[in-house]
Amino acid sequence: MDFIGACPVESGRDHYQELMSMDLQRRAFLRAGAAGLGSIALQSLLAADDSKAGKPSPVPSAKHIIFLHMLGGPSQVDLLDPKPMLANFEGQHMPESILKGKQFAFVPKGAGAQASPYKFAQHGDSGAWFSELTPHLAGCADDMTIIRSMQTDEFNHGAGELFLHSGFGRLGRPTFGSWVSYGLGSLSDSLPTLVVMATGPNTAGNSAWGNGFQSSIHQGVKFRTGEEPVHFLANSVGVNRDRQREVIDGVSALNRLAYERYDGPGIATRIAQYEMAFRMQASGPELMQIGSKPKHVLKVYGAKLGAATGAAACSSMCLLAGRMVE
Amino acid sequence: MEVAEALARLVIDLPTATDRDRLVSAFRRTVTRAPSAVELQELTRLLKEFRASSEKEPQAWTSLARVLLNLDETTTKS
Repeated sequence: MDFIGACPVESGRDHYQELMSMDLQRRAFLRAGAAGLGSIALQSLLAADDSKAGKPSPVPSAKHIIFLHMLGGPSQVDLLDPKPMLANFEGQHMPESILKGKQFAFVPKGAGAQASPYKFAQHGDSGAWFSELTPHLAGCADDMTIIRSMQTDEFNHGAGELFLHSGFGRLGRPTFGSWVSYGLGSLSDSLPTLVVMATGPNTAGNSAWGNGFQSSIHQGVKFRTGEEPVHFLANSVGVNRDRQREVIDGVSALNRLAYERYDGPGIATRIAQYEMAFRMQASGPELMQIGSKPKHVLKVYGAKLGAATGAAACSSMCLLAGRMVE
Repeated sequence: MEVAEALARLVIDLPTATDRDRLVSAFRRTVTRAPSAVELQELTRLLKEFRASSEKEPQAWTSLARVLLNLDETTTKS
């Protein structure tokens, strides 16, 4: 613990020195326990080219993912998964053989079954089933893969969302997006690997795009809805890009010194995120302008510039996602 | 930004004259401990760099204040 003796000036403040040395002892203890794994994380985070993005096997062909998580939709039984036998139980109690051993929320005992009131038909060469509720989606039948075999034992919103995103109904696991970030890295160094946009809250909260036990660099970065997806991209008055660069370098240099002492993986992420923020200052303003899309495109999407909530916001987000992917 | 400018003014207005005293004071105000020898070296180097690229003294100290306010240690609970 060489730094205790190295504290300069300010002699005569004994109490302060004592407090400080206790704090440094605690941190040194934590550091010794970390076994230096943090430095490996820092090296890989700051590597100029992301070697994780090369040659996993098999080599993936997809380059981008836009994941639409739409809460509160109708049941799959009304949209994509026809269950004609439900008609046999219409109005009757569901049989014990189906209900036995299962838990439900918001469903009273002895509730009756209800068949879907919507007509289903097959579409495209694949013959995929769609209900009459989504004619436009049905028109894209041959461009889609529909997975109807997903199941869960979770019966409540929060746990259900966590299960969907992380495979576990409890907090603490990495999520779909962070696994992609971890396993495949990123093709762009001017946008975060995982960008999140939301028109409202979800019941799993920020954990729906969290990194769990992975390095925090893999967590989703949430952009805002409305006019300015990312605030403060422009430099303040009197700060040009060179000076901004100097300030960020200064922060990173001092953070690195702290990192070497405390071995905190969070510091490594912060250094990397400041770098990303600096790059986004260059690419961001042009990227965020969906207004540059032709008017007829905006109309087809139902997007509205500056919309922060509702369907118009969702459409704007989709457009912005498309632009980022480009 | 306004906070950085205020911190810079505060430190410039200190009655003591030396840069070192000003750097230590600014550091202690943001990180609540004295800088180590290595950190003080780094801060001195940064101040020199900012002075070279700034037109006026307050600008250089504002840049330094911005660095201190953005340190992981400043913004994170230990």
